[in-house]
Formats: sequence, structure tokens, C-alpha cells
Amino acid sequence: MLYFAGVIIFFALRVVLVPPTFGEIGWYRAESVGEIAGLQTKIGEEFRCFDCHITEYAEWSVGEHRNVSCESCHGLLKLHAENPEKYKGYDEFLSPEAFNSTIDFCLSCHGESISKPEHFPQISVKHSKSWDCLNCHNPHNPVGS
Amino acid sequence: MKRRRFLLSVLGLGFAAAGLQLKVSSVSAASPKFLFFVDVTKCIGCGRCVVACKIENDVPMEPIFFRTWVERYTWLRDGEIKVVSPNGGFNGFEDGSIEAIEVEKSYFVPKLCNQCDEPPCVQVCPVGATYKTEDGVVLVDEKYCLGCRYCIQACPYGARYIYPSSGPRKSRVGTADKCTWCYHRITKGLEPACVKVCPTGARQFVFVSGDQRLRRIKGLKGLKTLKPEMGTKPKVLYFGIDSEVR
Repeated sequence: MLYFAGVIIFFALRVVLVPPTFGEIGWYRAESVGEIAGLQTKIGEEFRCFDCHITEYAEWSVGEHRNVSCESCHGLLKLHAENPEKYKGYDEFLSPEAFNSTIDFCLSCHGESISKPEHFPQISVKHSKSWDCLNCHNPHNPVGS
Repeated sequence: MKRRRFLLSVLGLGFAAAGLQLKVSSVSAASPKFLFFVDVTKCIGCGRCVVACKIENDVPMEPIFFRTWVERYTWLRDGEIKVVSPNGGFNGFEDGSIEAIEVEKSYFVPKLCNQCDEPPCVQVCPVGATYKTEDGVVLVDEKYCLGCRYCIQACPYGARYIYPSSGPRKSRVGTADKCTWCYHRITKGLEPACVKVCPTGARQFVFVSGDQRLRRIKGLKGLKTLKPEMGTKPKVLYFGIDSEVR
């Protein structure tokens, strides 16, 4: 009799303690997959930059930076793309405004290093001196202008 | 005697049922839908991937918490190998005191969760909070994780950390956290954040079905995975690394 009571208590406790979707797919809470997949994205989802920035597109699409995504240099900008009037196109960490100067920003990729691939264009500080890179280079088409 | 036999038979039936369920769950695991390709011959160590990952996935900004990070391997002429990763590469890298003349070779190696096909972290989780999805990605259920740290010990790649109370996502505090290949993005057909911002194409994400790049990548000579001897069957494929990279 005691054994049957034990078995009944075990199953009763199991119903209470084990989450409803646990074991539906495997040894985990099946619901959790949907919860993680449903998290909000923060980096721009669609390539809508050129709906507005037409001049930049014309320059970028034929330049050496054409394989570099807008987000690489300008940051996440999801909010800006959704509401450009309310949110400026500046990112706290990834945009040029996050760096002390334009030179620092350009050198964050193009600074000289022994570890970078040889074919990658690297610029020594001597080359730029105290000049702003933008005096000679258009960042959307850096070699062609 | 009757009682013992009854108990044994109940126990036996229980094990049989558990075994059957295990078998069913292992059979139902479908082939992976995604692959991650890292070409170290293109990585410039700019650290944009590290920054984007932290923002996209609410990873705390402190310099010890990373879902992805970049390491610099340097082989010196005297045979010494130096591996550095200041702030995980968040602020990029500076050559510092190493002189070019002393260096045999050097390159950057981006690291992230390998989404192993045989994940040790899943095996050791006592509650089923870490699991492999049907599409082959290893996830952590933040509502079910106890924070026991077994998975952190088990991961040979150091891909996991315990989410601190200083982090922006309060529901995740005290649980194990790691790279999900941006599961919330890839299930919508978007690239992971690190891939999106990589300016040189050193990180590439491959949707296995119908992706033209898969054939080219699979055909590359010298394609490697990290620590293959561990038997974890990683799904991050590296091109251009030496066997010392681990």
C-alpha cells in the first residue's frame, strides 16, 4: 500500500515540478527555444539605409568599401532606420563619433600591425601626420576620390 | 521475495522507458542547418565583432565577459608563442613592445561557441537547461539554469561565463551564458551580429540549405576545427590556422 502511495506522490510531484513543455522535443523545456528565438534584434535587420542615403550609395557601391556593411562603420542604427527624425545616426560604440578623431576611427581598421594580412591596406601614422583622412579620402569610396 | 521481485521489475521497466526515450530523442536530432566559417587570413583584429555581439546580446561591458572574442597568436623567431586578447579585442590590438624583426608570423583568431555536434556542456547539465536544438545550435534556458557552473568546466573552448548582476538583462543573472550564433537572428534568416559588422568577411555564416558558399568553403584545403581530439565535433570551421591554435 505504501508503495502505491509513494508512486502516486512521485507522479503528483512530477506534474507540479516539471515544466509543461519539458521533454516534448528532448530533455529540455521546448518552450525555451521559442523564447530565445523571439528575442528582439538590435542591429539593423533590413538593408534600408539607401532609401534615404542615395548619394552615399552611389559612392559606396563602386568604391573599395562596397563589401563593408553600413553597420561596420556606422553602428547598429536600428532605431535610426525605424525613426530617422527622432534618432540620429550615431552609435555609441561603433560609429566615428565613438572615437577621439577621424584618424583614430580610420586607423581602428587601417592601422599598421604585424598581425594583419599583408594584402590589407595599412596606413602608418607618418602618412597621415596630423591631417584628417577626410581631407583626401571619401570614406565611402576611399581610393577613387 | 515477492516484494523484491516487484521492486526490481518496476525499476527495470523504468530504466527501459528512460532508455527508449533517450534513443528517440537522439534519433530525432536532425542534421545541422547552420555552419560558421572563420577565415583568419582576412581578420584584421578591429574588434567590431566583439562590440556588436555585446550590444546585440546584452553581454556585460566588463572586460571579462564575452560571447565572442578575438585572440592574437604570435610566433616569435626563438620559438615562443604569445597569445594575447586585451579586453577580448573589444578596443582592437596594438603591437606594443613586439618588434616586427622578432616575429616569425602572427595573426588574429576570432573565437566563439563552436556549437559542437557532441556538446560536453549538454552532457553535464544536471537539469536540462543547456540543450542542443533540432537545428544543431546549443542554447541555455535562462529560466531553468541553476548556475551550477558544470557546463563552464566542461566546455573545452572556454565559451561560457556566469552572467553577473551588473549585466543589463536581469532575468539572466546568475545563469550560464554563451554565444548562440545569434539564434534570434538566424532563425529569422538574418546573419549573426558579428558577421554583419565584420568589414573583411573573416566571419561568414552559412545557412546550409541552398547556400552557394558551402561548396567553396568545404572544398578549401587546410580547413580545421579547434581541439578536434576532444571529439566534440565543432561546427565552427577555421581556415588558415596552425595546430597550435586551440
